[in-house]
Amino acid sequence: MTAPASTISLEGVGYGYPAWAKNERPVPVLWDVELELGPGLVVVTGDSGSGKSTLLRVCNGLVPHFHGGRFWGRATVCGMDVVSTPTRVLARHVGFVFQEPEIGFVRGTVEREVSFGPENLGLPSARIRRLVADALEQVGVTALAGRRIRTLSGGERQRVALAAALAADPAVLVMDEPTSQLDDDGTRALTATLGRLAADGRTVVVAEHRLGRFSGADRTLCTADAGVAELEHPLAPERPLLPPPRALAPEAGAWALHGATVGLPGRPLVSEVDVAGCAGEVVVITGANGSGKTTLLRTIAGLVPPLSGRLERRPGRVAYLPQEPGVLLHRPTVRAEVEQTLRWTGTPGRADEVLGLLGLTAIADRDPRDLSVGQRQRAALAAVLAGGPKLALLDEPTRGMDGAARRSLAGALRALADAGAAVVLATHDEELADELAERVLHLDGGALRSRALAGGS
Amino acid sequence: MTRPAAVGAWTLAGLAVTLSTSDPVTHVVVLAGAWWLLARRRTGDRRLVPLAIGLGVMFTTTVLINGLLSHTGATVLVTLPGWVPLAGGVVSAEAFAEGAAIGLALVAAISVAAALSVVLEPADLVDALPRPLSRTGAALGSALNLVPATAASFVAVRDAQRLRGWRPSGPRALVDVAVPVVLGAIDRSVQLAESMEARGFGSGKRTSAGGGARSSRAVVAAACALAALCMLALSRLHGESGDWYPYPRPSVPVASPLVLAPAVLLALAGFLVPRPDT
Repeated sequence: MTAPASTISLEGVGYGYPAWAKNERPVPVLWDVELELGPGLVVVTGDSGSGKSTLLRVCNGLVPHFHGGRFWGRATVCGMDVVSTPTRVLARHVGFVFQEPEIGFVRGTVEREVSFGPENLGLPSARIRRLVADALEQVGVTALAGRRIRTLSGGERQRVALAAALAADPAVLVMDEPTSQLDDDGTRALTATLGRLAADGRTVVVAEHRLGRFSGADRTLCTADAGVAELEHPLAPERPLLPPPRALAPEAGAWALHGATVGLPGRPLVSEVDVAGCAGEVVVITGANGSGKTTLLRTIAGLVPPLSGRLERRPGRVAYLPQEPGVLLHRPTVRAEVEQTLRWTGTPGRADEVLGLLGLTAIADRDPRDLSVGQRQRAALAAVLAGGPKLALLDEPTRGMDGAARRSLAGALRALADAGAAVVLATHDEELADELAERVLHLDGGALRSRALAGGS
Repeated sequence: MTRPAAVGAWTLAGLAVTLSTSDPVTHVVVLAGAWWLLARRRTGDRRLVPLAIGLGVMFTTTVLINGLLSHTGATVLVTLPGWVPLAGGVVSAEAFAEGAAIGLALVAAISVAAALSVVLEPADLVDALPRPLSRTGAALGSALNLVPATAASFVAVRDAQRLRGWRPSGPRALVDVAVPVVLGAIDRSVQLAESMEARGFGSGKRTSAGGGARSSRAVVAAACALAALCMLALSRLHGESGDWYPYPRPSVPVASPLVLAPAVLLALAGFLVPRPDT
């Protein structure tokens, strides 16, 4: 399917989500946005909560059809008026990949999941099978076709979600932070695929914080103050997160795996590893999607017993940030979440210190569930890091975070390590690893390789 | 023929065979076949211990209720005083035997029905629905997918809260796990609906890419299940129901080959159900 010259057009578009309290007026997230997008690769960047996801949802009509609220101005996509065309009809032309795609999966296996969209469009069976095979190949997950969705890693799920969006052969492809859980190979494959699709005449709109990953983009837009502006110098070098890591003084061991085989029953992922971390050290676990990073982290946390061998940890509280931060948050405000942890751990201290350290003071009194994914991630971090843990285990902590939030996180983790805590991160964020870690543990094919970085031992 | 269709056929035949007779031998054979299927063909990490415990409790309760409340039978074990509410009166061996037979039938029927949730994923089951039901099936499948997601969420929330310092100190403490689980389930439902809308669900007539992997083993399994149904009908036409009653005096149940044949064919069909894919 080929797109006309201007596929997405926004004229004076404004939008505010519905207010929950009586007499409260909707706060505009978009205000008089003027935008013309044609075929090509467009990257949308901006701070967490600045309206990127909302702008993307206008492109397929989820805003305003699904979310309600107040919408004004005129938006057309592929010549169809967004307000008068239901989202399910726009779905014939717009493929959408959500920021947390795993939640939107409908089917049990990869192949069936990818075929869901074309089936909804009423395409003939033979064509669906061809489209599914093409989509899986384009994203490089043909080998996963028969796999159960629940057996896939976060990154693999993200690629399956992209294949599912591509399978309907859309003229416009919209993706909300598609690389947040992808490994390097996955990111390279994705950007190459998106480049090909754009060159094919499709309009590809991607929300992304790390612009370096999309250096070949045709246009870069920035959302701020409810507006959208063209970014002139998108690849201006970012401020480094932190000064280089300091030399690590040998300190007491904080955790160790002795001859441990890590994995799930009947499915070992890492075999017979001997690895340890010490107090004050920041260790980063890297590896391809599905290599076992999360399982290794959960094993160190004591949530998954090693299949063989043993785990040793010094006494003290363990802080664990899961990949889905939403599982932690249930109090009415971000501040209440932090206070809850302080109360549970019996730690004296004020929530404001942790909130300030992670740059959350401005949103401390907001409901965590109303925040953007990046902000929620930081709120969850504040909730787990409060109370001075001796060991902090964080799974993809920079997911959905903008540059400022990542700097706050790096600063908070460095402060935690300097205070004597051992920190272990599982991440694909190479910048964070380079600037924060003393040591990198790389998982590859069931083996674990350790690499000391500058200043590390 | 796909694996879900074969399991569906097996379950239907199993329920028909189980519920059409009170013959304990038939029920024992069906029960053995069902548990072989549950244990050897279950998907993923489905746990059978809770099911076994539940069935054990159900069987024991049925035996006790029938044994204590029936008050009929020639072999009196004990006579309870009349002032004991409901249970007062004769307690007979026949009443316990009948309770055991009823309990066995219940346990066998539930074990057969459990195959649908233990041997199949919810999505597989929905995918196996006939085409006219595919739209309803897709919606149903999405809803069913939330069940394991919510169960997994419970474990994730409990682990995460425990590491934040939460301790399960009583019913009130459970709120700190239950509330995030419920809120998470609502969030997931909303996001699932948003995703389905964005993927064109409900935009018109749906088609299908075709079911899962076809297998000749599944065809033979379904054929055996169908043969079990035919044998059941044949035995009834011959006037052999195999029904067993413990009154007036209990006897050892002896089933004729014609009565037992459907249960044996059903067990064979269970052996032939293909293994789950990964």
